[in-house]
Formats: sequence, C-alpha cells, structure tokens
Amino acid sequence: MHLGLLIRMILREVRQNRQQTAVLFLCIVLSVVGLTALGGFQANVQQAMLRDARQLHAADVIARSSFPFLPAMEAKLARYAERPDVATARVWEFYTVVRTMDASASLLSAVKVVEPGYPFYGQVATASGLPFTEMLTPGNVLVEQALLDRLGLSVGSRIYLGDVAMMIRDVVISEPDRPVTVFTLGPRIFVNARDRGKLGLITQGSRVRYKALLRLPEGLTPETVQKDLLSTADLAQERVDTFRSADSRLKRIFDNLLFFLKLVSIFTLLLAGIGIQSVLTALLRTRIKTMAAMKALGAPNAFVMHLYMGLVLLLSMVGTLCGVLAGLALQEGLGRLLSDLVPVTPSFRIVWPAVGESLLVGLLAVALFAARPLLGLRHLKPSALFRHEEGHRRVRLGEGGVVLVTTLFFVGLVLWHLDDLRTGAYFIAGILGLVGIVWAAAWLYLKGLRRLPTRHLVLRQAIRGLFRPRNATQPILVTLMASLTLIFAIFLTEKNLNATFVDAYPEDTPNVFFLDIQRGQTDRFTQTVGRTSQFYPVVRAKLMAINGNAVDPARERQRKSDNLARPFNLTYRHHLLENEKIIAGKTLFQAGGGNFQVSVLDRIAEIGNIRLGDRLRFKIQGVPLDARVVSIRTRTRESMQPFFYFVFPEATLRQAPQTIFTALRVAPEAIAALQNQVVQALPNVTVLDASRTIRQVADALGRFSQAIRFFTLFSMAAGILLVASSIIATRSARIREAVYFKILGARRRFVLYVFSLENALLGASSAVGGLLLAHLISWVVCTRYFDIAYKTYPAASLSGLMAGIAVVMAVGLSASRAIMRRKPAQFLRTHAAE
Amino acid sequence: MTIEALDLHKSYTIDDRRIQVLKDVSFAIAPGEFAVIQGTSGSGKSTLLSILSGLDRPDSGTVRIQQQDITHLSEDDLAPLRNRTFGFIFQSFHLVPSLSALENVMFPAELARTPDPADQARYLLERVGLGHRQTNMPHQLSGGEQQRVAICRALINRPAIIFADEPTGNLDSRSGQAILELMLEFQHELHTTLLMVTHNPDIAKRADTRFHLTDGRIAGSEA
Ligand SMILES: Nc1ncnc2c1ncn2[C@@H]1O[C@H](COP(=O)(O)OP(=O)(O)OP(=O)(O)O)[C@@H](O)[C@H]1O
Ligand SMILES: [Mg+2]
Repeated sequence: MHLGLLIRMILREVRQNRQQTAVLFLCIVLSVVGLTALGGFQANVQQAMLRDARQLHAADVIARSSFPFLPAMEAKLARYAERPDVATARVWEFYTVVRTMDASASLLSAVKVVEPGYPFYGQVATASGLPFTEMLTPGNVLVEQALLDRLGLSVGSRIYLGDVAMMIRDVVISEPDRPVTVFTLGPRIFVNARDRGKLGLITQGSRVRYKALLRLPEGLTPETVQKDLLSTADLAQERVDTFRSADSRLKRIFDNLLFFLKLVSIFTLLLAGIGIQSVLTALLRTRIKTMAAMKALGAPNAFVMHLYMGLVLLLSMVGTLCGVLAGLALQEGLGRLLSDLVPVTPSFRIVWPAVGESLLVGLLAVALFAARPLLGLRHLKPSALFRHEEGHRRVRLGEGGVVLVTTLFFVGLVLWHLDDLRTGAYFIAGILGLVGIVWAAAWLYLKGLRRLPTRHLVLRQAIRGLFRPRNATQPILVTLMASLTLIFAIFLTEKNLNATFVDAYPEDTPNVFFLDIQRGQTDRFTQTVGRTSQFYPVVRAKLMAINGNAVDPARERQRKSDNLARPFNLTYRHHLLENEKIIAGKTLFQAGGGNFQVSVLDRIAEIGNIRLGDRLRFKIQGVPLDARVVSIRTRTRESMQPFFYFVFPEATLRQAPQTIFTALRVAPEAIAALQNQVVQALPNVTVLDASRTIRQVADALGRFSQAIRFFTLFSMAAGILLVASSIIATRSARIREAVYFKILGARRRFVLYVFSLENALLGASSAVGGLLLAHLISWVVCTRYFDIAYKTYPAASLSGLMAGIAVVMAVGLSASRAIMRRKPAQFLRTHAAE
Repeated sequence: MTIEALDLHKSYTIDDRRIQVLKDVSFAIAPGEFAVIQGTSGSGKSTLLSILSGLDRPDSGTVRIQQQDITHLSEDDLAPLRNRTFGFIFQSFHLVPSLSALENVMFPAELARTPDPADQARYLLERVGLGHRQTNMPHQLSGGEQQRVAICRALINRPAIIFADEPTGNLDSRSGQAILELMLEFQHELHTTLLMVTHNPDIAKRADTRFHLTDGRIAGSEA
C-alpha cells in the first residue's frame, strides 16, 4: 500500500466534502466534551474531599445524634476521654435568635458550642489573626461578619443569646467543618462550652445536634474506634463516622447531579454517534460509483477500505482531541459554577485517567458507529457502477452484530458510571422504553402521513420529501423526538420545582415558622404575635421497625429520597388538614380502635412500602410505641404548608415529650420586629424566616439547573447536527428535486416552501411528540419523585414547541441554501448520463 | 409561437482556457414547426437548447419568444414561461423520483392551478398506453415508459413550444420510434412548435427544418 497516495487521497476527500467532514468532526467533538469535563471535575472534587476529609470533619471519628447520647454511648466516650493519647471534644449545634442589647434587631443564628480542643484538624480562622481558642473564652462569642452586618454591630458589641448577654470578641473568617452543611439558615456564632449551662437554651426537645469529636493517636485506626462505638450505639438515633466514611448530604446531592449530567452526556454521545453514522453513510454513498470504478480499475478491496478508515481515523483522532480540550475548558467552567455548592474548593487539575477514559470512550464510540457504513464497503462490487441509485439494501448479519455490540457498549458505559445498579437498570429501561415509544409513535405517524390524502401541492410535495428514498426520516424523527423529550422534560420539571419551592408563594402561605414552643407557652405566644394560629404538637421519634422488620439505618442512608432512619416529627390530631384527603382506610382513625393507631402520609408509605394494617414501631426518647396503620393520607396540593408523615390520636401522644410548632404569614418588613418580640417573650422559641431559605434553595436550584441545561444543550447540538447530517445525506436528491421543480416552472419560492414545510413537518412532529412525552415524564417525576403538584405551563410549552420547530427549520434552511442555488442547466449537464 | 435567436455567443472558461461554444448563432423557427438541431458530440447542441429555453443565459445575443426577449428575465419571471409555454423532454427523462407517474404528470398542471389536473394526467397516460402504471414510481418503470411519462408531463399544460434534447438517445430503436411517433402525434394535434436535438438521421429526415451546428456556428438550415 502506497501510504503517500493514501494520505493524499484522504486529504482530497476532506477538501471535497467540507460540509460532511465538518459535521462528522463536530459530532466526534461533541461525543467526548461532556464526559471529559464531568470525569475530570468529579475526580478533582473527590480528591479534594479526600485530601480535606479530616479537616472537613475536624476529627478522626465523629459520633452524632439528634438527641443527647444514650448512657451506653456516654460510657464508651468517657472511656476514650480518659485515655491520655485520645483527645475528645463535644460540640452542640442549634439555631437560635440573637438580639441586640436595645432589642432593635434580631437574627436567627447558627450557634456552635464547642469544647476546648475543637477543631482537631484544620483551623478556625479569625479576623484578628489570633488563635481561636485564645479568643473564645467564657462570656465571649465569635461571630461571622454577616451577623455584624445584619445587626449593625461591630467587634466589642454585646448581644443577647437567649437572655444572656455575651461579648463579640472577634470575627470568624472560616471554620474547617462548616462546608459540609448544606444550607445554613443564619450566620455562625461560636460559644465556649462553659457558657452552655448559662444559656439555658438547650432544653429537652429543641433541635440540637449533639456531636463528639475524637482525635486518635497513630496506632489506633478510626475504623477500630468506629466499630467499637457502634457496637453499643443505638443505631436508631446515634451515628458514628470516621472522617473517611462521613458523607455529607450535600455530597449526595452533588453526586446525584453529576450522575444525571453523565447520563445526559451519554445520551449526547449516543446522538452524536448516530450523527456520525448517518453522515458517513451519506458520504460513502456519494462515492459508491467512484469506488466501484476504482475497484473495476483493479484497486484492491483494501485500498478503498483503507482510504475511508484512514479518513475516519484521522477525524476521530483530531476530533476527540479537540473534544477533550473543550471538555477541560468546560471542567474549569463547571468548577466555577458549582464552587460554592461543593464542600471543598477543587483546584483545577488535568486528571489524566479521566482524560484517557474519555479519549478511549470517544474513539470506541466512533469506531462502533463508523463500523456499519465502513463494513458495508466490503461488499461493494464493481457492478455497482451499473446499478441505479435507488433500491434497497439488505441488512447483513455482520451489521446486526455491530448494533448488538453498540448497545452493549452503551449499557456498559451507563453501568460503569454509576454506583447503583438499580438506578442504572431503571435508566436503561427508561431509555429503551422511551426509544421504543418514540419509535412506535414515529412509525405510526409516518404511516398516517404517507396515506394522508392532500390536495395542497406544497404540503404534498413536502410530505413526499419525507419519504425520499434513503431519507432516514424515521431514525431522524426518533432521535430528534427523543432529544427534545429530554430537553423539554428537564425544562418542565425545573419549572415545576421552581414554582413549588421558589415562585409560587401564595398570599396566605406561611413564611415564618416557629419551632420549639413549649407546651405552656401557647397563650403567651398568641398574645405576643397578636393573632391566632394553628398549633401543631411535635413529638420527635424514630421509626424502629415495620411489621417487626427493623429499619436499617445504613441502608436507609443510601436512599436518594427521604429515608426512614431519620428522626421524624409525630403529631396528634383528629381532623384532616384542609389540603389532605384519605386514600386508603375510611376515616383518619377507627372509632373504638384504641390509641395504638396511626395515619400515614402516602409519600412515606411509598418510601417504606407501608400498607394499611402494617404495624409500626417508634421510639420516643427511648420509649417504644407500637401502632397499626389505619389510614393513608395524601396531600391534595403541595406547598410550603407544614405536613406530618405520621398522625396519632391525641390520647396516644399527649403525655409524650413534645414541643409545639406553628407557622404564620408575615409581611416581609414586619418579620424582624416580630422575631424580636417573640424571642424576648419566649427565648427558647426558634424563629425561622423561610423567605431567606427559599432564596438559598432557589439559588442552588438555579445553579444546578444551569449546569443541567448546559449539558442538555450538547444533546440539542447533537440533535441539530443530526438534522444537518440528514439534509447532507439527501443533498443530491434535494438538488435534483429543486432543479426539476424549476424546470417544470416552479418559482424559487415554491421550492423554498416545499423544503421549509418538509423541515417544519419534521420539527413540528418531533417537537409535539417530544413535548407530550416530556409532559408525561415530568409529570411522573414531579408527582412521584418530588411529590409536588404538576402544572402544564401551556405558554412556556408552546414557546418551547415553537423554538424546537424554529431550530429544526433554521438548520434545515441553512443546510439547503447551497441546494437552492443550483442552476438547472448545470445540473442537467452533470446528471445527463444517469 | 416564434423562436428567434440573434447573435448568440456562449463560451466557458476552464483553467484560463476559453472555449467558445456558440459563435454568432442566429436563426428563427416558425410556429408549429418541427425543427431539428444536429451536430457532432460537443458541438454545442445542448448548450444552444438550454439557452433557447431559458435554462441558461448567453454571453451576448438575444432569444425572443413571440417577440419577447427572455435572456434578461429573472428565474422567477421565467417560471411561468417554463410552466405554461414550454415543455421539456430530456434524454435521461428526469422524472421526480419521489413522485409517482401520475403525480409527475400532474405536477405542472398543479403549479398552474389548472382545475382537475388528475383527470387530464390520467387521460394523457391512457393515451400513451400507461393507464395501468399510474401509481408506479419512476424507478419501477422502464426507460421507454419513463420517457412516455415525461412526454405527458411536458404536454399537460398544452405548451406552445416543446424542447427535446435527444429524447430517444437512451432508448432502443423500436421504443425510440414509438416515442417519436407519439411526440409528432401530439405536435400535430396541439400545433406545438417542436425543437429537437438529435443524432438520428431518420428522425431528422422527418423534420420541417434542420440546423447543423459546426464549430459553434449554424452551418446551414434546410427546409
Ligand atoms: N459548464 C460547462 N463548463 C465547461 N464547459 C462546458 C460547460 N458546458 C458545456 N461545456 C462545453 O461546451 C461544449 C458543448 O457542450 P454541449 O453539451 O452543448 O455539447 P452537445 O453538442 O450537446 O454534445 P453531445 O452531443 O455530446 O450531447 C463541450 O465542449 C463542453 O465541454
Ligand atoms: Mg448534448
């Protein structure tokens, strides 16, 4: 084989088919960008997390509970504390309102009471630069700058924490273990542990997080201590983690996001691959005559194969390389977008294994998708010279094998990128289902369209255009519809999430929540706020077992949705809330059914697979409570209104330790004043200004959806390339039609109308189908997964539809421009011989 | 309808080399005439035909169809002319591959918004003996059948002039003969001007007028 000749010919092919080569190249680039960026980003975050893990948790081993540690745990901890080589420190975290001395302003703040020794790893940086432990002496507090700003104070000012006055000694710039908390409801205040008793705020029932931090000597591994502590821990409420095993909620959200983005990227890869295949097929088809002639002239079979394999190889190497570079740029962008949400600041670093992986995946994908058209060349005979362009190809056995291998490749890729087999199976089943449904819909639609009797000339020509020989309308319709489905579904889900958690904030929805009101304080509370409100008793409890099967905390924490092992708030009442209705069982409770019955909300019933008649065992501060499920409730509309998973008859819980919760709608400008009044009158009450939280959630949601939208843009781009590739594939047929129409007396406008309408039909049908499916999918996701009300957004849907159609038409039109310009005489000359 | 050519010039430039294809070509064809253009391969017959029919433009000179100069008309102004006044028949048929035989024939009538285009198309197809092949796609038809469809398509709007570039060139002599007979039959019936490029001396013999193209010039015309 003459290499020089081969290379010259490859380059000539590239030059002669600029459009095809460009689309091919872009498809290859697109196929690796997303995965490269995500792989690198994730590896960097993981590395940073591991590097900073000790600091992130400020200790080697952390024991935590939402209740005071039980005696067994206390005893174990005490034993470690006695060891000279082990250091321990207790930490209590809770929210409370602080007030200025003149009561002019107040603010919900995140209090962290720490014992000396904290933090064992990392540092609490102070504005003064002086050591944290020296500054945080009894009677003094260290605060975040935000607190000073919001209350108009400065270092040296005094504030009320509950009814105790404290001096602000310094400003905290950073704390090592802060980033693992997801959303904070207020600025940080550090308090010395010796002031704890004085504060009197930490009363039983208020929401305190109890932590014990341990620093271990060289020879003692965190895992040994973890195991030892766990052996006596009450798993229902106590957790023990090492700095390595501890997993923040944020990290889980973050992992979910990355996983989702990866799925989108894999989807993009699939679309790009189909694009590669269709462009290559089209390119080779225009060359069939030439290749047959080359063969007839005695060129060996291998020469033709090598020529196009060389072309594909060249393009895929340059393409994947460019894709990887673009991916690295995207990785940097992703880091910037999500840096606030990631608990660590990952430094930008090229992760070579990730780069290698995406290069490999890219090349493999190109090879797989190029295999079918290239393998077809093997069967090319010189006799193709004499055959007509039309006619049908038989699918060969070898090509079926390629399809199978490609499918396996994608299944493998999905499984490889995910730690959870179940989700992977769901995803694959979902994609297959989606493609199946879309395929069937497209088939039916095209069949109907073909039969549609239409008298309108332009419309009929446009429809005919769709059935142009080798037009691949069906695959294009399927891929376009599937990608539009994905994009629309994300768009709609995001809109609904926003509506529920961010925008939709109906006039009467409460925006201030009052937690930890004590039982005797309700009258005083009503007096203070000056109006009545619904009081909800709250009993903190853990679900221990369902029908005798113990709830496994370790397994529950794996869940992506709410988990059964977290502490629940039980309540008691005998009526349904106005937005509740019963979906199983006749009434909330059964008359004469005794006290040991419970009504369950459908959401938790689904999570725990709880049915009517099941026996639930709870533990309320160590005291067990058994109850039978007598009704299942659902919420008729989702909102910010408080809700309870478990409702009991009053007699059952009246005696249990409890606090009272209520919510009010307060005009935003009045919130601060009300907060002050309530805290002055009832210092133990926690006031939650939800409007701020909502903004934080909205911000995070916004960033997440920005990232998601960005990645769906890639699959959109792949879909667009697909449209372009199909137009390129049918280029010669289109030119032929355009010329014939002109010769027969059609104006340019007519040709333009026909082509535009053809693209419009393609765009409209895929957009309409995609939109319908997207509504279905996001309806399921919203009502089943997020459990929020679903709105259809007709206006936004319509504009999405229009945008989809417009994009397809625009791409079609720009790809058809060259076709329209062809002069009849020129065409007739070159095609006279056919 | 009269066709007049006045001082037509046409040249092509390939790699800085000018090829003068038509030099100073002038002639006229009377309405209802059957005229034939002959000449060796490469002599410029097809080029001349496409200039006369407005598919191409001359470098200089004028083409007048019924006193109207068509060389400066825009593509869109040429469209109604091509649709209603001209009919085209080519050596390689050039049927729209995505349309059935019937639809190919109907198409010009539909563009012209003639009432009942399908009836007329069916009538024509019956007359050329293709009544039973209406729904066939072009690739399902033989060359002779395709050409008969093309004739029907050229005739459906009753054009004043038919341009035919070697219409029998791709056919065996029997089918070619049949095609010629059909064309002449219709030409008589509709009083159409027929301008045909052909290599076939037997066909040329039957023409009212013959032009010879040599070296880009009309060498002679015989009645
Ligand atoms: N677009 C073009 N570019 C360059 N040269 C051209 C072009 N069109 C025609 N020619 C040249 O003009 C000359 C006449 O071409 P034309 O097709 O008119 O010949 P013809 O008489 O129809 O030949 P044939 O009998 O083989 O069909 C030829 O030499 C051809 O090479
Ligand atoms: Mg010719």
